[in-house]
Amino acid sequence: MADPMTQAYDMAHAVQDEALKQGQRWQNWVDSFVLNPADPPMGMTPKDVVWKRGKMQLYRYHAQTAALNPIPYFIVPWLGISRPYVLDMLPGHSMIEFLVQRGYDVYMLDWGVIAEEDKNLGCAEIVSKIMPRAIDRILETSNASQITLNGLCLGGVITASYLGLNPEAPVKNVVSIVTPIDFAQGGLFKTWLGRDAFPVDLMVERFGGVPPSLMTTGFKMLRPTNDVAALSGLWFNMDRKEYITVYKAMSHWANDFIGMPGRFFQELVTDLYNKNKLIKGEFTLRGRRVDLRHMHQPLLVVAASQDNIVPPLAAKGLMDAVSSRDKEYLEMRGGHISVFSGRQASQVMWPKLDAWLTQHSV
Amino acid sequence: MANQTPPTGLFDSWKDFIEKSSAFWSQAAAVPQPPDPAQMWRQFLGMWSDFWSKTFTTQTASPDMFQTAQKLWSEQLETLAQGFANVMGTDAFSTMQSKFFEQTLAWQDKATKAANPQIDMALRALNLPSREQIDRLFERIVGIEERLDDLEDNTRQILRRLREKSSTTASDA
Repeated sequence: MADPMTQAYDMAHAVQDEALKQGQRWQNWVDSFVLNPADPPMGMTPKDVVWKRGKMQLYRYHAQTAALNPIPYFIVPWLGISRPYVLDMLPGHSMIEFLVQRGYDVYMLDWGVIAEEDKNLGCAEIVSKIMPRAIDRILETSNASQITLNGLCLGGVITASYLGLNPEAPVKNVVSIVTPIDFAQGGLFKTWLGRDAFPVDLMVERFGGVPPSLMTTGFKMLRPTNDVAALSGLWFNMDRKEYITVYKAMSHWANDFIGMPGRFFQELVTDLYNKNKLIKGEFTLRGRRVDLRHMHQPLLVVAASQDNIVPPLAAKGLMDAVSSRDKEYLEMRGGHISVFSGRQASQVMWPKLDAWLTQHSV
Repeated sequence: MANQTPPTGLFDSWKDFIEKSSAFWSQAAAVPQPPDPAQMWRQFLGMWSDFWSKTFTTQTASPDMFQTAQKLWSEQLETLAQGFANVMGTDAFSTMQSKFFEQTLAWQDKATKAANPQIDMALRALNLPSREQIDRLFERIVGIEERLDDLEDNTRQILRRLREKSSTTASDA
């Protein structure tokens, strides 16, 4: 135990340090939230639209290296819920920017702002019409014969369904990030939605889908303390300017919910959360059965250990369902979003993804 | 400075708090019927204020105090989040939620059906399209775009075949 004088000295120092930090926090708060309240611009990695249908747009990101990886990297994000610009958040905090700077020819499908008029958009149309066409455009634009297909969250359900129906698809590698496949392990959403009592048909009839307000409520309810935790995190780190910029961007995105098409939501609730048809091999689209054993490509499955939207076991289900012999499962520390977006992702997940892709690009 | 071990008493109170809150939430989650919200919050707030008053009255100031406070706060939020998850993960909660949705939607449906004729009439009088008409228009536009895509695909296929044919003819010649 230190003597009282040393203790008092240390204490005085600690108080002084904290007082200085507090001063810096207030100064930064005034600067970032009062004088300059605008959110930082997001999704700034240069890109072109190579194909569009309705609200949907297929982006190709501008190359930033002299040599391009010959296998285009196609990202299919979740449908509805929120916008995919979290993948291209801010310079230095963007998965897309990282991949482009590593020489990948990156494409991404942006579903647009889903609303009531999209109520008839379902898995069947996406898998049989949109996916083949988008892949066709990518192959033609890049003059390639195969792609790497990356499904993110529910986008992974779409890519898995596409591959489950098309064993001959021009896909060389598959990356599945926080994608629910075994819906029996679907966490709180499984408990809430995966029951006959959930009035899914009534909701779709009434709203044409899930309206943004309901989407916001659902996701906020998953972890009601998230906003308070984010705000306290902000306060404790307010002395760091960079943290504030990232906080503003993330906070903007985390409150920018959009709807989900009615038909897709019905399939998600009835066939997947309720009956877990995808992993059982009973999921049918336009009379054709989605067989995940048709997936034979090298596969990388990424899950997040603290994911409360897609618990690791729900994502891991894909590992046993496919016939790929070259497959790898990575469970990383972090939540549903932080596993692929943000500082931690830039240090852990992206380099691992890059290493895996390099290994499988030959 | 920051390397000194904080007083163990503080951690004892924290441990006590965590144990109590875990017991409280598991008890709340185990109740088959949805717990009475007022009772739930009274208990939780009591536990919370008890913890902080004990901390401030029994602890001496430590150089690590600010960091410890920050850590404690985060731990408590985590406990609270876990507690919510336990309660909301129960069948009772899900049933209650589904019923609430169903009733709200049924009520909204009735209200909308009652209001729709008036809204349609007002929009017609103002020469404005209704939501339904805009939706139909959107569907038609998407349908046209789809047909254009089909046409483009067919044209490409024809061009590809023509190119193949001409290259075969050239090589034969």
